[in-house]
Amino acid sequence: MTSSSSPPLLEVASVTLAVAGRTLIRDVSLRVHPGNFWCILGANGAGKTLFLHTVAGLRQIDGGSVALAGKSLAQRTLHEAARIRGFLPQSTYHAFPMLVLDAVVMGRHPHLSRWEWEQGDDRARAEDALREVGLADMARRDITTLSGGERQRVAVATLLAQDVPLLLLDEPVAHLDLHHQILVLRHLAQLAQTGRAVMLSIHDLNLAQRFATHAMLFGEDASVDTGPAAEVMNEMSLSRAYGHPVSRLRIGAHAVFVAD
Amino acid sequence: MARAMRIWLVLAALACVALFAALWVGSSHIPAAEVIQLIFQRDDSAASEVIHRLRVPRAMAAFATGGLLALAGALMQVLLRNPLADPYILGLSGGSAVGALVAMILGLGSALIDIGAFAGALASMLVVFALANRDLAWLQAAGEVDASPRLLLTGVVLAAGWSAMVTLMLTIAPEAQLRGILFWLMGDLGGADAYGLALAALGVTVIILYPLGRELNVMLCGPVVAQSLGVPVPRLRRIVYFVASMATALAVTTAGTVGFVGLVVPHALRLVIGNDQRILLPACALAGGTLLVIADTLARSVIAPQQLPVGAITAALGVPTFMYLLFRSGGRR
Repeated sequence: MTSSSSPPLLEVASVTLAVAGRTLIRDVSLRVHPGNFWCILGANGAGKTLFLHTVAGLRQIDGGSVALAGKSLAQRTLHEAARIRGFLPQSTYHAFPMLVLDAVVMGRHPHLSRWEWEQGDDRARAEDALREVGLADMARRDITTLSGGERQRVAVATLLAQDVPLLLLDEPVAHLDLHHQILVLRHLAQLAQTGRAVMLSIHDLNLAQRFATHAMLFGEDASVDTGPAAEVMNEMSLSRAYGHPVSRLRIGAHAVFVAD
Repeated sequence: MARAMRIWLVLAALACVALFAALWVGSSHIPAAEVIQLIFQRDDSAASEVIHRLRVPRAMAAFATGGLLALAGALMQVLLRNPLADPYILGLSGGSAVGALVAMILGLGSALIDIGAFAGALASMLVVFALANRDLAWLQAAGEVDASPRLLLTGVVLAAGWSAMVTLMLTIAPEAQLRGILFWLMGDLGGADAYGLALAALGVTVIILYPLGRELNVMLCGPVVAQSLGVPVPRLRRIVYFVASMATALAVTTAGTVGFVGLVVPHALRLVIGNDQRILLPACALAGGTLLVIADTLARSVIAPQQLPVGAITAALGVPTFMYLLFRSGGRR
């Protein structure tokens, strides 16, 4: 794991997650540094979402500790946390009509004081974010008229507008078409390369393999493998984690995972 | 900000026109010029008495009630993220009605009826809060199921319980009081004379909510997104619940259960000015007040000297207006 003199953006120490009396993961530790692109892998119900909610500070920790940029999550105010990490939920829902641009401008909330109104800068940042997810021409559309994948990209744009060093995303590409899966992941990878950190859950092993620097694999019996993607993502541990045989095939210069 | 000011000024001007009309229109005819003069200079003429003793309190009570209901409706819609929410959705009006009806059936005076209504509303508010407090803090929302399904259900079921009690009381109430009870249940400003508290509450509510406006906007994107953007969702939800409930309780105490204003004024305004709570909430206070002043003026003048319950007028005015806004060229976009 990379080490650095500055504290990691996210430090997870001996974290245990339990829900309804069931322990999902036990004693997991990891550090996320600028430049890292973490993919969280595992079967449905393994606790990937719960883990992301926990490190984002959206629920109580059941055991262990989480620190954001060197300071315990428990000691950070919501406002501070919102300027360090952003979180994209698995799905978003809008009950009322709202302009796409207005929804993305919400991402600027942590950067404004209580009395400030969004300025031209904030709108410009939101427009950039929309361009980055390929929705520049939809800024004036009503969000409730968008398709599921487009709404997902609006949510990603909101996260980008939040402009934080640590981006946590729960299945950001689940509803996207092939082109936009790559577009979004490429943009996130580029953000990681320029000094931010990304941690996301994903079901597509080949996309994960292509972009991840690190991986976190939720396995059986509350065990979790963490480390460099190339080490964690092997046939044996993936097969065991998903309860289904997975093979790695070479096609020219590429290696692909295939479920039997 | 400049846009907000423009919107508020237009609505405030409309409110002034409506209030003037309310002071001018009535069974004893007073010329408009004299009305204007008497508003600023009270004397001991009969006309001055009519304006200052009868019409001013009633118009101000109507304004305060309408404003409080529209605000409470807009807040409940944000709290539950449900466009169908209105100030009464969590059962508050039912509790209030039971309190007021008990006082009426016992033949108590109007002050005690008000106290009964307020106590009933508070009791209802506290029951829902005690039962659903955990749901106000609930964040994990999956898909389209919103964060507070149990809060909504608690309120709706409680409302059904209150409604059963009201029906029961209607069947056993003495004939002589039925008319008064029906007027109360439909909303009526005939007996409204104490407006100071409600009007002050309207002002205080707008001031309390103003700094929370952007957080309320973010809440519209869902509790998880809001919390990750730094909005203290559980605390904000509790504040919104209490403010909306108190506003509703005061409105109901002033004028009975006037329907419609709390549901339709926020929606009509959203269609015209958008859904930025910083602009919308003060606009609701002004437009809701204006609507109820107009409705009440009509209620006491269309078939004068006979008076109509104002709730019937709000619906008669509101339904076509709202339908027009909703269906003109397919809505806002």
